[in-house]
Parts: sequence; structure tokens; C-alpha cells
Amino acid sequence: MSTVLTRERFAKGMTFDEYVTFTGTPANLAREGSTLAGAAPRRDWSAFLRERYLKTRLSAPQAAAIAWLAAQPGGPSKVLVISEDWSSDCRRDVPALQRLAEAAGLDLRIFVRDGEKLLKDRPSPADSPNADLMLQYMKTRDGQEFASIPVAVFFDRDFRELYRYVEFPAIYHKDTLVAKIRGTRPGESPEQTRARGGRDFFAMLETPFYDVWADAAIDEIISALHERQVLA
Amino acid sequence: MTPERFAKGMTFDGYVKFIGSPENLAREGFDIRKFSLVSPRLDWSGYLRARHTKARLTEDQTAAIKWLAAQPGGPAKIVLIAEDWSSDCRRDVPYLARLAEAGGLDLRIFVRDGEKMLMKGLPDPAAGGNADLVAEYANEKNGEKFATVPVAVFFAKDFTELYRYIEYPAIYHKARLIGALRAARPGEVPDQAKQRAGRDIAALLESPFFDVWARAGVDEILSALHEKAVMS
Repeated sequence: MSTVLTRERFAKGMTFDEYVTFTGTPANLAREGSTLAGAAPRRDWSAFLRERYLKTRLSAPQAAAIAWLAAQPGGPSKVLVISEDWSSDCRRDVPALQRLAEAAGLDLRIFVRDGEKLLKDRPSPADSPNADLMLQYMKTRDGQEFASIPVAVFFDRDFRELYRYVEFPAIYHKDTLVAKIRGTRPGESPEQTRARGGRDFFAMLETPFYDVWADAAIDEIISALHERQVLA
Repeated sequence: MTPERFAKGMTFDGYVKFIGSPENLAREGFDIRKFSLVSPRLDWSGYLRARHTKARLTEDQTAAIKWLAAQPGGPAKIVLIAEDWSSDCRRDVPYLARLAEAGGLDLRIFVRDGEKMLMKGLPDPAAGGNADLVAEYANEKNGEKFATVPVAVFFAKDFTELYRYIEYPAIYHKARLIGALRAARPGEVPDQAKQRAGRDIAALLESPFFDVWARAGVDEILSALHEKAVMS
């Protein structure tokens, strides 16, 4: 596990409130964003994120569990989050991660992944101010590395890494679902498939399952931190 | 599964009454805190009723199961195989009852064992009782079959099987955790280790993590049923 992160580097991240404010600024909105079809102008998601945060509540057992974990010697104390507002996975999880941090008094700091342009290849310090962090916390799958977001890295008080949550909870088989939703239906032209697939995907983000997965992510994090504590 | 076989199961209320009955208490049971067989059984009926009263789904879990139940071919019935001596059953059964209530699903509970506790392998399906169901819905792991409980099998109205939830949610790495709790600490003799482990396991079952896993079980079921609906 990494011990590269320093107090000073961590302190350069944004609090949740600062991040939400930042997402609505001209500086952020001028950066390239993304849709299902690729690079696109950014939308202002600040109101959505703030509203979602207000609506998000941990369950009583989740709140009690993270408070117990934070009180243990070597328990979680800091959370580093890498996020981009154009990502529906980030919009789903970041407000709940903030609630998790609040429930236990964890210090949460958010870093954006991209620079002015949407990341297309490996992160590079020439293109993104936080490439050092993204390179540190890349997702590995089938021998390849991906700059998947969100990343939420949990550290103890001394910045020893305890657990890393990446992209979505294990019960959400996103690739399978998205491939099905965006797959061609009989009689559709490619353009119709793209338009209908996009509508169906965004409709799924409006269903209660979006929040079920956010809840599942919190359970996954809590359970992993508990296991780490018991096995330590 | 036939409508007639299904109808022989107990409702949640009927099950809770049954487990407090002399007929059930006379059956052989098990206590994980002592890691030994117990006869007569402990009466868990008050505990289960209190746990059901306290168990609440989130608004999103409730909305999700209603959405699923309203789909053509959506879940309508649940076969649940349970034993009150199992802490996994005591964790999940009250929440499964809540899930069924929220979606208007018909839940029927069947006990696994006869007078003696099944220690390993599978029963002969012709042995009577619920051996037919236990054999049909056995847990397969590493090429072997186990009569694991709880098993919750979700069916459409016409008894087409949709999904099977077994034992505990994927995020709860039970064997690893219980193994660590039961391992002798430096300086412990076997009897001391057994007693200390019993206390540690009892504390774990009283901790908020028990409910975190119960709710994670519900999220896992909802996500799997949603995936089934999208993919079909």
C-alpha cells in the first residue's frame, strides 16, 4: 500500500463545499467535459451535487459503523477523492462519501482528474495538475491500467493507506448493463441506437437503483475497513 | 417449485411463532458463540420479532423493489430456507420479510433441518421434510454442494426462477473474519481461545456491522434483480 501522500499534498485538495462551488465556476465550466459519446462542453452540476448531498443520509448502522472504525487505533482519518463532475459514477458517490466523512469526522479532500482537456490516455503532469495522484491510484484490470473515477482512498492519521474504493460498487455490473442498454435493437439505425441508448442510460440514473448503488458503495467501504481492522 | 409446494411454507409471522414453539425448541440447534451444538434450542422468537420491528428499508430500496415487482415477469414470490440457530439467518430473514412487504411479494419460509442438525453434505431429497428444497437450492462452491442457509430464491408469478441469494452478501468475508476471531492469540490455551472467540463473535453480532451486512444483502438482491430485468 502507498505511503507517498504527504500532509501538504493532501491539504491542496478541496473540501466538499469548495468542490461543489468550483464545479459551477467559469474556470471549471471552461474545461472539456464528457458524455457517453466522448468529449463535450461541461454542464453545471453544482446544484445537482448540492441537492443530492442534502438528500443523502447514511443509515444509523452505517453512521455507527464508521464512527466505531474512526475511533480504533489506526482507524480511518482522511479520505482522498479523485472526481470529475461529468462522471455519473462521481455524481452518485461523492455526496455519500462526504456524508460518510462527516459521520466520523474524517477529513475529506477532493482533487479533479483532468486538466483543460478530457483525459484520453495516461495522466500526464503536463496536462493535469493532479496527474501525480491519479497515476498513484490507477485501476488495474486484466493487466491494464485505467484512470477510473471516482477514487476514494482511506488513510489513517499518519497517511497509511487502509482501503481504496474505485469507480462503482461490486454489485453494480456497469459494463454488462451499459452494453445491453446501448446495444442495437432490431430495426434501429446506428444514430437511433446512439440516441435511444443515451436516453435509456440517463433514465437509469433517475431510477432508485442509482441510490441503491450509492448505498452499496458505502456498505462496501465500511465492510472493507472493518475487515482491515479485524485482520490487522 | 409448484404453487402447492410453495404454499406449504410459513409466512414470516408463522415462522417466528414456530421457532418459539416446543416442537422447534426440541430440535437440535447450534450456537456460534460457543461453537457447539445446543439441545434444546435457544428461543430466538423474541429477538427475531424485535429485529423485524427495527428493520427498515431505505426509501430507495422500497422504491426499487416496487419498480421490480411492477415489471412484466418481475419478482412475486420468495422461497426462504432458514434455521434460527444461524446468525446469518437471524441477520437477513427480518430484512427479507421487509423486502417482501415493500414489494408485495409472497414470502414463504421452510426450515432446513429435521430433529437433528445437518452437519455436512446434502440430505436425500426423498428424506421428507424440506429435503427436496434443500437439495434443489444447495450452495455450490469449489465443486462441492452445501446446504447453506439462508437461501432466498426469487420467482416470477409463474414460478420462473429469477435470482438466488445465499448465506451472506459478497462484501462480508465471513470465513476470513470468523477465522481471525477464532484463531488463538499469543499465550492463549485452546479453551481460553474458544471462550474469547465466543465473546468476540457475540460482540460482532451485536455491532452495527451486522446491520450493514443485512442491508448490503438487500442491495445485492435488488441490483441482481434489476440486472435480470434489464438483460431479459
